[in-house]
Amino acid sequence: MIILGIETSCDDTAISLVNEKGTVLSNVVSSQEVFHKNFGGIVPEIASRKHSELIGYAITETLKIAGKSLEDIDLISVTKGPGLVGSLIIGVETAKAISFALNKPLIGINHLEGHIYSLFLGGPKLSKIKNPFPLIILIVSGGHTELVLMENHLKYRVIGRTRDDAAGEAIDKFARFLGYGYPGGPLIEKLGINGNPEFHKFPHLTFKGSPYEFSFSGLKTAGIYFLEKNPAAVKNNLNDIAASFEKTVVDILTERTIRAAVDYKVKGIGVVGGVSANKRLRKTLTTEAPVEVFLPEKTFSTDNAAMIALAGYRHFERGEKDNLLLDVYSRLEIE
Amino acid sequence: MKILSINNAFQPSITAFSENEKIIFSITAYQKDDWPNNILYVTKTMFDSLGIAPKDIELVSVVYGPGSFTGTRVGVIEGKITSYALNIPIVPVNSLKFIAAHFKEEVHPILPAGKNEYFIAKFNNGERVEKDRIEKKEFLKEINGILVSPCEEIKDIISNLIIINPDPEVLISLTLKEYADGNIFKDPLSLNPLYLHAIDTIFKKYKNGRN
Ligand SMILES: [Zn+2]
Repeated sequence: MIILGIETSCDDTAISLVNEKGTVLSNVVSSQEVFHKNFGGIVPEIASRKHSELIGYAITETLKIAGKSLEDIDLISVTKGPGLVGSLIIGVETAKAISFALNKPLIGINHLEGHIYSLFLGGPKLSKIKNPFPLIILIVSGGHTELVLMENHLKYRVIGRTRDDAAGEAIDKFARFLGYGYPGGPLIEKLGINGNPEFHKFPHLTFKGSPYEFSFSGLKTAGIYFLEKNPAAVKNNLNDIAASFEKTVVDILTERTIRAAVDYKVKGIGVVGGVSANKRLRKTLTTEAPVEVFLPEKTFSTDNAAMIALAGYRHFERGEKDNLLLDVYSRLEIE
Repeated sequence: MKILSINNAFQPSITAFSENEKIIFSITAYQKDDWPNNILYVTKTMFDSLGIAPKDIELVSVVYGPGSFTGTRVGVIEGKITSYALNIPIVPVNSLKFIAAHFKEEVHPILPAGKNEYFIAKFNNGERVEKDRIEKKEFLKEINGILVSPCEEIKDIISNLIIINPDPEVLISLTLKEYADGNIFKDPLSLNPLYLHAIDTIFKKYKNGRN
């Protein structure tokens, strides 16, 4: 069985072909970063325009790499939300048009559920374990920070999320204040490699009664305040500041995730989303976690369509599909 | 020739299926704003009930703007991906030309283009006299001539406006005319909406927080 995955929830036009085992036949991510870079963030109208220009060519390229044609596809799986409506709509209408023209089944997938399935792509450790559940999954990116208890395939419970900014968003904004462009995460990581993470202690908040909740807006504000008040440190200790800020974010993520893993007596921890590629986070979590930590292949930690294709297959296998009235959702919960 | 024609650049949307200038079916509907529409759904439903297979389509035509940003883009994506998947050509139809094609007289077709701005052009007996452009509300009042639009709201600004109900037959005959004139995209993926608003003007609005 061949599944065509389509993912356009933000600024990447991503198309992939995956089989029912999670083997990735081809994976194309056409980044729009160059178009948004000058604006210091994503401009929704530009994202939507670029998706509509690129998507057909990205499909052609994906088919070419895998040596397949549209006729070979058995299922179309597309991100229906959460994300930018104007961006999602291009992916969904593309999926619907192929489904209409070639009479192929169609399914709409939650982007976050897609990230969870990045753990099962490309034959990593996790897909070889007979029953890895329950798992605690940390979804962490520029748009999301959530802790999910995964009891089985397609069975989830969100146990904690951010009250305000996502972890990656806080890092991006901190980087922007330092004069670095979008996205800021990789730049902060690069600066912090040789820095002293103990240089400055940024605030690390916990909420009474909700031990798995996150908040990064306070940290972001404190970070920017520190930069404003300490121009000398910014000049002389930039690497140390970056390392300290990054460490605080990583510590918050690690502390909540491990606590959830212990409380729910899980067999393993999965970390997915763009920030899961962060080396400090990978190292801290694997060192401190009492259970095994599973990570997606680096290519599949950031937004991609292979994860959407595999999640779509799991739902389709269970007898679910959508019709040509499939909608998009700017907000969508994992259920 | 069997043609699927789509308009989603302005309201109401149109889906029309024709064979040799004769309409097999057409559906005119008001769609939700900025949201996936039901064009492909109703087309599939009609096809199923009439025993038509999507593979029977030989040509797609789509109204490619100027018009509502999201609406136009959605219509173009539906049209171009359908024709890409079926490996058939696509014909773009200009929205202002489509509106003007309802009249033999010299007319100025108008469509809303965002805050206080309007897409406008001039046609005589369906032939273009002036190119598509964007004008401010104040300018519309200065125009001497017949102003036409499918958009009721514009009536609040200009009283001597003729409101039209877009006719699927006009869309089909215009499609055939464009096809005969060789206005065909053999690579449907290379067809993009006609925006008129350049990306840098959008960015300016975005930066000033007006968008
Ligand atoms: Zn994502």
